[in-house]
This record gives sequence, C-alpha cells and structure tokens, in this order.
Amino acid sequence: MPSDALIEVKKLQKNYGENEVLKQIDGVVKPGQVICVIGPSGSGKSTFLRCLNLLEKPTGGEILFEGHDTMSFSEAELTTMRERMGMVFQSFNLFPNLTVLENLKLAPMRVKHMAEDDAAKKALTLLKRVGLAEKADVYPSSLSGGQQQRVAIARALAMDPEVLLFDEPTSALDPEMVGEVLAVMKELAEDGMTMVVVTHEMGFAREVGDEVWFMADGYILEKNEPNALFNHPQNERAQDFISKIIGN
Amino acid sequence: MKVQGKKILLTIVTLCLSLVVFVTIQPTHQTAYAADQSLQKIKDKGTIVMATSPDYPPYEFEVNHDGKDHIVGMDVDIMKKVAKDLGVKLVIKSMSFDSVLVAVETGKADVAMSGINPTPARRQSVDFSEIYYNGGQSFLIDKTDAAKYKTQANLANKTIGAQTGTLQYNLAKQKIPGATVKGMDKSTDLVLALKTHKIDALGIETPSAEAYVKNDPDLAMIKSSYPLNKNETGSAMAFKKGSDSLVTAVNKSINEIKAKGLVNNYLADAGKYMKVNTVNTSMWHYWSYFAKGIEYTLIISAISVVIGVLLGTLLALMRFSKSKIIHAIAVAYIEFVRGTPLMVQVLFVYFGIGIIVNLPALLSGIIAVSLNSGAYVAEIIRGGINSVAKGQTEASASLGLNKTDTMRFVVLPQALKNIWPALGNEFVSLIKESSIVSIIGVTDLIYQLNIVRADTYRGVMPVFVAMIIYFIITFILTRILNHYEGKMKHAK
Ligand SMILES: Nc1ncnc2c1ncn2[C@@H]1O[C@H](COP(=O)(O)OP(=O)(O)OP(=O)(O)O)[C@@H](O)[C@H]1O
Ligand SMILES: [Mg+2]
Repeated sequence: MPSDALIEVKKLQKNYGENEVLKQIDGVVKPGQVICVIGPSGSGKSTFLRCLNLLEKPTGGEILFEGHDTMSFSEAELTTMRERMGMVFQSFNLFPNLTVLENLKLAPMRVKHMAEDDAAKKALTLLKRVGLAEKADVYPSSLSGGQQQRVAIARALAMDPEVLLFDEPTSALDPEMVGEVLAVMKELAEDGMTMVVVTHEMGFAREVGDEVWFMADGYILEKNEPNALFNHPQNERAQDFISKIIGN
Repeated sequence: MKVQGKKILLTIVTLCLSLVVFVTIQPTHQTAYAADQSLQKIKDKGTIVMATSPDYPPYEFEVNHDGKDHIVGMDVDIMKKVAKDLGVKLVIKSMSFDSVLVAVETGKADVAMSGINPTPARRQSVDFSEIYYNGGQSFLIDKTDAAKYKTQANLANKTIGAQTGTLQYNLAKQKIPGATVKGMDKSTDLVLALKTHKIDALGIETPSAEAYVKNDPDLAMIKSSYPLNKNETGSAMAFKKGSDSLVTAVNKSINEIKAKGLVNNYLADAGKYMKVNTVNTSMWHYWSYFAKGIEYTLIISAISVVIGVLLGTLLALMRFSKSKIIHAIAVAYIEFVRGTPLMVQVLFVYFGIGIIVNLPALLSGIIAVSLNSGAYVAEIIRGGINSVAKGQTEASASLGLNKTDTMRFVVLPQALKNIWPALGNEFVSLIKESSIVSIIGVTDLIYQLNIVRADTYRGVMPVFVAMIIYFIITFILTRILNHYEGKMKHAK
C-alpha cells in the first residue's frame, strides 16, 4: 500500500439511476504530481473529478484522502477535506454578488477564521500572482473569461489547498484567453502544486502532466506518462481518440 | 340592526377552541363560577370595557374635538352613567360590529353596546340587559321619491336595502310583499346606494334615519308599519353568559335612565356633536383622521414586512431542510396560511389566540399580517434560492464553506437580488391587504375612512381620498424599491 498517496481511488463506481457512468476507476495521486485526465465527451471525467471532493456521492468503491476513507466523513470532516482540495470549474463560478477581493477573502475568513486584514493581504498577493491585482475591487461580471478563471484559481489558492482539481478550465474561454490561464496553471505546477486536470489541451498535458489518464466507458483504459501515451497509445480506444485529436 | 358576521366568528372561535384543547376547558370552567363574580371582577379592576362599533350615529360615532378623536353618542353617555353608578372607569374599545359580541364572549370586553337588538339567536350566546332604548323602524328614501313613497305599503315590489343579517333585512324580506332585499355591510354604503338609485328605500333604525335626514337635504324618511315585538327590536347591552350580578347592577342604572327620561338628553347631546361635525364635511377638515389611518397602515405594513421576510426566510430554509419533519412543518404552514383568507386569520389571532393571551387589536393585526406575509415571502424566497445556479453552491462547498455560510454569503444575497421585484410586489400588496385589520378595530386607513364616511354622510369622497392615499403610498414605495433594484444591478 503506497503510504505516500495523497488521494487513492479504489474500484470507484457511480450510477445515475440505470446509467453506469463510472464502472470501475482505480488510481493514485501522489503529492506534487500533475495528473491530466483526457477522454471523449460523456466518458465521466467530470463525474470522476466531482466524486473526488464528494460533490457527487459515489455509489461504490472507496476514495482515500491522506489515508482516510472520505465516504465515512461526517459533515464537518467533509468540509475540512474540501477546504484542502480546491476546485476550479469550467464556468468559473465566481460569486457575482462579491467583488474580486471579497471572492478571495470569503473562505479564509469564514472557514479559517483569518482576520480580515490578513485575508486581504493574502488575496492581493494571490491576485498579483495571477496578474490581476488591479481588479481587486471590481465585480466579476466586468472581467473577461480568462480573467475570471484566473481569479477563480486565485480564490482556490487562498485556502492553501493540498491539491487542486480542474474541470476543463479553459474550454469555456475564447481561444485568445486560453494561454493566460494555462500559463498560470503551468506556473503552479512548477511550484510543486498537486493537480488533477481534466482537459482537452493536449499540449498542456504533454508539457506539464506527470501522468495522463485516458478515460472511456466508465473505465480508465490507459495510464502513462504523457509522451508514451500520446506517441504510442496501447489501448485501441485511446489510439482512436488521440489520432482524432492530433489529426486535427 | 347591525351587521351580524357573528356566526362566522363563532365558527372560528369554536375552531380555536377545539384546536387548543386546554382552552376548551377554560371557558366552561369560568362560566361555572363566574356567575356571581362578574360584578365583583369589574369592581376589582376598577374599569368596565365597552366594545362598540362607532360608525352608527347617533348611537355611537367618532368626532374630532380639540384635535383628538372621541367616541361619542347616546350609547356612550348611557354607559358613562352605568360606569359611574358602578363606581368604575369606562374604557371604550372600538371594533367592527361583527366583532363586538365575540369580544364579550371571549373576554376582550366586559360589555358590548352598539345599538344591539337582543334577538333570540343572540340570546343563546350572550346575556342581555333590559332594553335601554327603542327607536323603532323607519325607511330612508330619496327626497325626490317622497311623493311616490308615502307609507310602507308603497314599497311593495321595490328594492329595499338593509344591512346584511340585521333585523331590518329580515323584516323587509318577510313583511314587504314582492320586495327585492339588497344587503350590504355598511350603512354608509347603503345610503350611497340609495342616493344613486340602486335601491328605492333603506330599512334603518328611526334615530339613525332622523340623523341622516337632518344632515342630508337629499334624503327623506317614512316610518315603518311593522308589527313589532318591542323586546326584540329595542337596543340592549350584551354581556358574557352567566354575568347575572353584573346584569342586575346595570339594569338598575337603565331603569333609572328610563324613569328620568335621560335618553332624550343623551340623544340631544349626540345631536349637538353631529351638528358640529357636519358643518364642515370637506375632506381637509378630516385630515387628522386620514393621517392617523396612514400612520397605522404604515406601522402595520412596515413591521409585518420585516417579520414576514424573516419568517419567510426561515420557512424557505426549513423547506430545504433534510429533516422530513422540519420540511413538513414548513410546507404545512405555508399551504395552510396560503389556503385561508387573511380576514379569517386576523379574526383567529384576535379572538382565538386572545383566549389564551389578551392581545391588543393592533398587535393581533400585526401578528396576523406578519404570519400571513411570511408564508407568501417563503415561496418567493424559495423560488429565489432555486434560481441561483448550482455551480455557486458547488464552488462555495469546494472552498470548504459549510451549508449555513453558503446560504448566507453566496445563495441568499443572489436570491434576494433575483426576487427583489417579486418581494416588492409582495410589500405593495401587503400595504393594501393589511386594510383587513380594520375589522378588529385597528384604526388603519380603511377604518378611518369608514369613520369619516359615517361622520360626514358623504359616501364617495372619503373613498376617493383613501384611494389616492393608498396610491401615493404604494407609488412612492415602488419608486424606492426600483431605486434599490437599480443599485443591486450595479453590483452585478
Ligand atoms: N447529475 C447527473 N444526473 C444524471 N446523469 C448525469 C449527471 N451528471 C452526468 N451525468 C451523465 O453522466 C455521463 C458522464 O458525464 P460527465 O459530465 O462526467 O462526462 P464528461 O466526461 O465530463 O464529459 P464532457 O467532456 O462533455 O464534459 C453523461 O452521460 C451524463 O449524461
Ligand atoms: Mg465534463
């Protein structure tokens, strides 16, 4: 049993009624690793990611976070776990009723009981890091998609998470904004952040990923380091998928 | 003689009684020993509380004197004398006529005196004093018809107006051949109907008819020729059942009043007030009445809005609760309140809950309107919460915020923004609907409006003024709400 695993997924299953979305998923995320999850649309990538922080309740199997069975968590333990597992959504999900700075301050103040000044300082540092310090006092609706997503990343970072989950963070963006978001993510990876990234950005996966997991039909059909998986996919469905993507 | 919504009231009270079990025991228990205590109780308190509906000159009506409102009239003078004989102070509680008998039955008042006929039906639920006045029955007619209608016989096959559920109503129905009887709640409305020829004649007590004729040159009257049993047509005071000692004491005063012929003095007294009162029937003269009405309408609405929103939020959150019981309680409350008329709720709170705790009318009104508004606000807020995108809750949860904080900082502020227009509508309709509290004697705008109508013998003008006032209030409110809606849009 690898004791150094941050997240360990064992025989994970998820059904929506008759629809078996995740049939059997196994995997290990170690600290500092960047895992990229790829696969055709509807293959269950989002569902898998959302099971990790229990936004969806798995129907079977086990997820261990730092060795603890997440499914037996109480409500309080669950929020503590989520506090340490940040998430970045495809549609940003910034709070439109709060300014950018307030978006960043909310969780540290409410969850970690950080003093307002400290939270603000921290928020500004993070905004600088994603290049948006001057937008601190505006409301999210006045930002571009790329800017919103960078704020969302900063918001997740404000909680000092152990791991960040990304669900197609760039696929809702205009093409010219994809780069700025990927650049921030790349920097994070270089700083040693543990990340699980569902993405269609093969370039990013190849360059930044430590491992790429190919998902289809409710299984992870192939797991490998990026170059091997992209250049010499073993699984037939993976070959098919990759040739289509790269062929484009 | 006056309105008798009493049956409805009794039904409601009975309902409360059966709902709250221990309360059912209490009143029976009280009647058992209260028989001899009734007089002593009044003396111990040092006050006698009289329930009356002051929209019925010359029996009882409100006048503005030295900048203050007074309830005056023959009944008040008689009761003052009774109080003096008992050696206690008189306290007058005004309310709609529907409510005066229930008020003595539920202990809200010690005596109901509002030109009440001691009919056999009423005798079953309250005790009556001796008749203190018998005015007789008359008809008001339009002066232009005076040549046509000289006696009651001329009214055959005509349309006769009368207050619903009153003696006049029943008499016209039974004793005037071929007559169509049109019932309305307020005598002021009936007079208006008469003047606009919607009815041909109006059955009414003689003293009231005389008062109208004296004060309105367009009206005339004819005496009725009903064969009447005096004991049923005169006016008497009503007491809670089993108040023998009190009734005996009061009867002594009544007999003295009768022996000395004091009633004529009292009537003359009332007439003086009415003269003073009707010289100037311009609406400006009554501005203080309307001002008081506005004040109460605003007080009730403002407090009820605040409580309604708090309660509504709580109920909406309860509906989202995982606990099936909490959810069910909220749903049941909301469904029940939305499924029953506000009027019934107002009566329930005032008279029903009033059996356990004696709530003043204003407080009862505020409670009822707040409880009612809470149910409607709850549904609006629920809709608002549902309108907040799921991603918002998920983002909040993914940051480690618990459910309460997610609601408080993320969902509710956004919900509020989405439902602001709907909430605004609810506030506006609350201002209008709160007018129903006038039935338990809360001096809101509608109540005051009826006082002014009774006072001035003018049917339409006060209504028009009240309409304009309501419009101005709601218009200003709508502007203010729009202003804030605009502000919230900026914050998006
Ligand atoms: N809440 C839900 N209720 C019912 N079915 C769902 C729900 N969420 C997802 N599904 C189904 O689960 C399957 C997998 O969905 P999921 O969103 O995980 O796929 P995905 O791999 O993320 O796809 P995409 O690349 O399009 O985002 C789909 O068939 C979807 O219809
Ligand atoms: Mg997805």
